Amino acid sequence: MSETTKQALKSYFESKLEGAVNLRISDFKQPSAGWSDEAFIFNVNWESDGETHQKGFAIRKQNKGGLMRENKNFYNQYNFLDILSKNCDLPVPGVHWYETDESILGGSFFVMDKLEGAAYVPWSKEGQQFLKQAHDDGHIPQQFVELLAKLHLLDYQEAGFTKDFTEPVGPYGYIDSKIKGLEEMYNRYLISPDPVMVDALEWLKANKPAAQRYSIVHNDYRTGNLLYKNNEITGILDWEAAEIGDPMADVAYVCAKSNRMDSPLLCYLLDRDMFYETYSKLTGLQVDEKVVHYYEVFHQVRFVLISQSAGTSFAKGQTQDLRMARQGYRWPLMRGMVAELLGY
Amino acid sequence: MLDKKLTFKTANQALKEIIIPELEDGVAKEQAIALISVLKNLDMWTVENISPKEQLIAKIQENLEEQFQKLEQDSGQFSSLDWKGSLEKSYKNTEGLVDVTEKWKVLNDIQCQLIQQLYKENDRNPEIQESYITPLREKVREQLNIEMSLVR
Repeated sequence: MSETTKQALKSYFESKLEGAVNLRISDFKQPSAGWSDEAFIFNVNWESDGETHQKGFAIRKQNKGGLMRENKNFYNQYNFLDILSKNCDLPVPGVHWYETDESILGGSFFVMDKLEGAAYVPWSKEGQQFLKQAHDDGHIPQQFVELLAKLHLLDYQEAGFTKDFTEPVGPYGYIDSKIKGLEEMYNRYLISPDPVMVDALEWLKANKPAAQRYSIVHNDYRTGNLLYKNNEITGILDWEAAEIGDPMADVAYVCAKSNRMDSPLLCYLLDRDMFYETYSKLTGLQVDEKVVHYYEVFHQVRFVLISQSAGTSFAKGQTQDLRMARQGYRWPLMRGMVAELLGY
Repeated sequence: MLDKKLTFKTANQALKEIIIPELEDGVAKEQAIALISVLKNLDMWTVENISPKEQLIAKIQENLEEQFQKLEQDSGQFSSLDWKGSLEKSYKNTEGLVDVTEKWKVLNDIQCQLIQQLYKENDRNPEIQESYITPLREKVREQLNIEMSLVR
């Protein structure tokens, strides 16, 4: 599998890098078969004009059987990163090519820069050790908040995002459209009518917070989606859910129980007080516990629906991926977390 | 919650098409091939466990009957209870349902409709939250606990 992919990449880069000779692919890695998209990381080595070159690239390839494929526009991911990487100094990968020719790798894909650094699974033993040490040292937690604040302070209109991405209208524009999306997902992936989810959706409608303002939101900003090297955060990854929205959605995501489980530290890294204070100071935005709780419920509802979509996809015979079956079986546990947040 | 037959069948397909071709160790390959046969036999020698759904049905029935009775007693708290009649009628119709999964789904749907109506009433009368929605959550929690106890 990886040999075939490496050969395909070699031919592809030979066609893209003009004048390149003796091209070879090295250090090829496929981090995991992603839930939604697949990723490949590698170095390209070549010679041209008598000089030797090496550059790291990463590829994100669309997985047609991936979760909630029908809700996603793959080109938007590429476009979003293109605009973002050209308009900020955040550690995000620059993008190079977007390809729709499925004969190359078996699906649409885009090529981006490989960023330096190591990723950690936060709930693994190794990840928890790394993050605890980073917490005690203090530099990475500070940088974690600074990068989020910087993203939220980016002038998205000036950067050109509003040409291709929806800008919510009015203080409830964002949350109204998100709730509508959740209801559509609930109905599409229905396993059985679910009183917990119906309660949660009604609760979300009845308790909507007004956005203080809008910004670029990552929607998956957590320690597991960052790269680290020499006590620095060197990359922010996984922008597939990014959009213009309420920055409190990202703040609540950092606080979400599913990102810390039983750890007293947010994302296994941050003290809650430090996070709120630093973020407020840097952005001028008020962090209201009630709003944070609201968006925590919102995210947990989203997680249930993702789990539900996985189970439905397996139950309908649309996938052989056993991870989807496992998610389907875990559905009551995910609903249990929604119930807990609502005070059941 | 997933169909037993389909789950066994798909697990076997994943073994055959995804896992076994990647196995290089001969012993591991033999064991994986044997596992396919074991899973097929296990499927044939076991039956779908419907007892949790039967327990859930009993819990939902108990809850709905309690709620209908309470609504009748508190009718003054509501702007209209036309919807209660419609829900009671749907509930009555579930008596004839034999298929356990179908009955569980229909009863759940009635609970969902009840919750939606209570939220509508709560917009007008915020006391509904405490007197109806919170106690109803306790009942739904009992149902959820049955489902959660079956997940590993």
